[in-house]
Amino acid sequence: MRIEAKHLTYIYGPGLPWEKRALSDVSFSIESGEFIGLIGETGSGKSTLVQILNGLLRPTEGTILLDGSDISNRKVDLHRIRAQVGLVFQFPEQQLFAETVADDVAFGPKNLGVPKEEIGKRVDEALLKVGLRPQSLRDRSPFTLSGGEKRLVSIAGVLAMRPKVLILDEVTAGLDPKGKKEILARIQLLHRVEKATIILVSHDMDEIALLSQRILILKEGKLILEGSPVEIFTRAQDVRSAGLDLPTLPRILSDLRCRGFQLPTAIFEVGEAARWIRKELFRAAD
Amino acid sequence: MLNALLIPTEGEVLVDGLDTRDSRNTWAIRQRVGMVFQNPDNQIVGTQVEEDVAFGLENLGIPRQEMRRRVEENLTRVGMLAYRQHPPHLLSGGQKQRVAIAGVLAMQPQSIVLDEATSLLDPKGRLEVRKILVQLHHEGVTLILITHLMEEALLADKLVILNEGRIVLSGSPQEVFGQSEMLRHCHLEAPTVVRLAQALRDQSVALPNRILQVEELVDELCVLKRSI
Repeated sequence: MRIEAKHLTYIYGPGLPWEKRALSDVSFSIESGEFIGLIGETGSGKSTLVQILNGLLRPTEGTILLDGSDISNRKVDLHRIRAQVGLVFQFPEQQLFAETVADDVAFGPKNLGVPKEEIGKRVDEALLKVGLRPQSLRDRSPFTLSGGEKRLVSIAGVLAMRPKVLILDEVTAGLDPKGKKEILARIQLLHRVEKATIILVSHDMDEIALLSQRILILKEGKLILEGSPVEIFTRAQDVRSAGLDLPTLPRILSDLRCRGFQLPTAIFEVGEAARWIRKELFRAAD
Repeated sequence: MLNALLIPTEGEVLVDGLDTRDSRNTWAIRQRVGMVFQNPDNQIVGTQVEEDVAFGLENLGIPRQEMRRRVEENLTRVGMLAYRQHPPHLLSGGQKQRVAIAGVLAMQPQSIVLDEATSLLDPKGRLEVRKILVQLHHEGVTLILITHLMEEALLADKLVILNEGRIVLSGSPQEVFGQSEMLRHCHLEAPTVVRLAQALRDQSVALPNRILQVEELVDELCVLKRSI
């Protein structure tokens, strides 16, 4: 699904004493099947933006087009939009509520009016997509699962609506390294195999650099940079001025550059960084 | 189990020689071992920052004068004195966690256990809390930090790795992060700096084994570059 945002502005409490401008004139487009990293410090407008993208908030000004149709139009059926643009909130496991995993995952499609016969199929399909075995999990209480599994079940609940775009807000926050790895591997599969358009919101720059094809940086409600991970993390100054840090390897490499090493900074893999450093050490010897 | 919230099925926990199995010791133990939890919202009870910090002291029956002094002293220690009259729910995650730490410090514990106290915070909040931890450690407070973040584990003098209820590794960060096989087995990974240094050693770049911090690696590489 192609997303086009034109001059989005969002103001909380317009006209009130605590009026707050969360987004100012933000424009961008996302192609179908792209993997987007959305970053910015706390309060930069990321959450407001993703809520506009799935119709939870209407922009104060500007338009948002999904496959060409304007969802800021008041006549649009918001249920349909929310089915097409799935939003997985931060700590989604806090929203698990049903007695069984199957009932929880079925909640979304049920609300969309999916026929009863089809819901079971959708539940199994969604659980499989996140790597969980429907046979052994369907009838279990979601509250008996591990933290990582709970989160996967919550993602399955969104996938059961068969969205074309999946927005994930801090999806690995608070998980152990193993749970983190599992979730990220699943998301990569959804992108590669299901061709889902993914928007990943994260504070973890290593995660963003490794997964995203394109990165959008918000600062104080404005879109200040967009580009590939290499383009973005080569511009260390701009990234830092947005209140963000570089991923770990670029941080090390940029420190080395400051000390006279001739190295690219936008490298996200340990082996590759080691090869560059070694080459540079011996280049100096020649 | 370190502060008698749980009692071991077998074995014993001694805090300053006080056995946690003896319920007469419970309050003395909890005063010595403070706990800070993952989510500050679960720990904050007051409607004002200073009231929240005073909560534990009220329970201990500390006289009013002394209570005021300790609240002020510990809010100063975590850099939150200016917010003493603020309602906690309007603070950022990092600020709330600092208030929670002040509340624990006010009870003057000798040790603090922090159970993933930074995992729900954004990078800025995480940094704020880490700074406080480093400072407390310098002041002589014993810290036990439970964390999923290997970069954070580097703050420690000693690391203990648990897997399926057993201690599988313990030692200095250098010793523990050198055991890449065992770490993998526990689904853990050494911090990026340590892995980069290892990758360089594997490609016969002569780096010492003790590198843990970015600055150390950068310094060592600069020395090497000059000597080659």
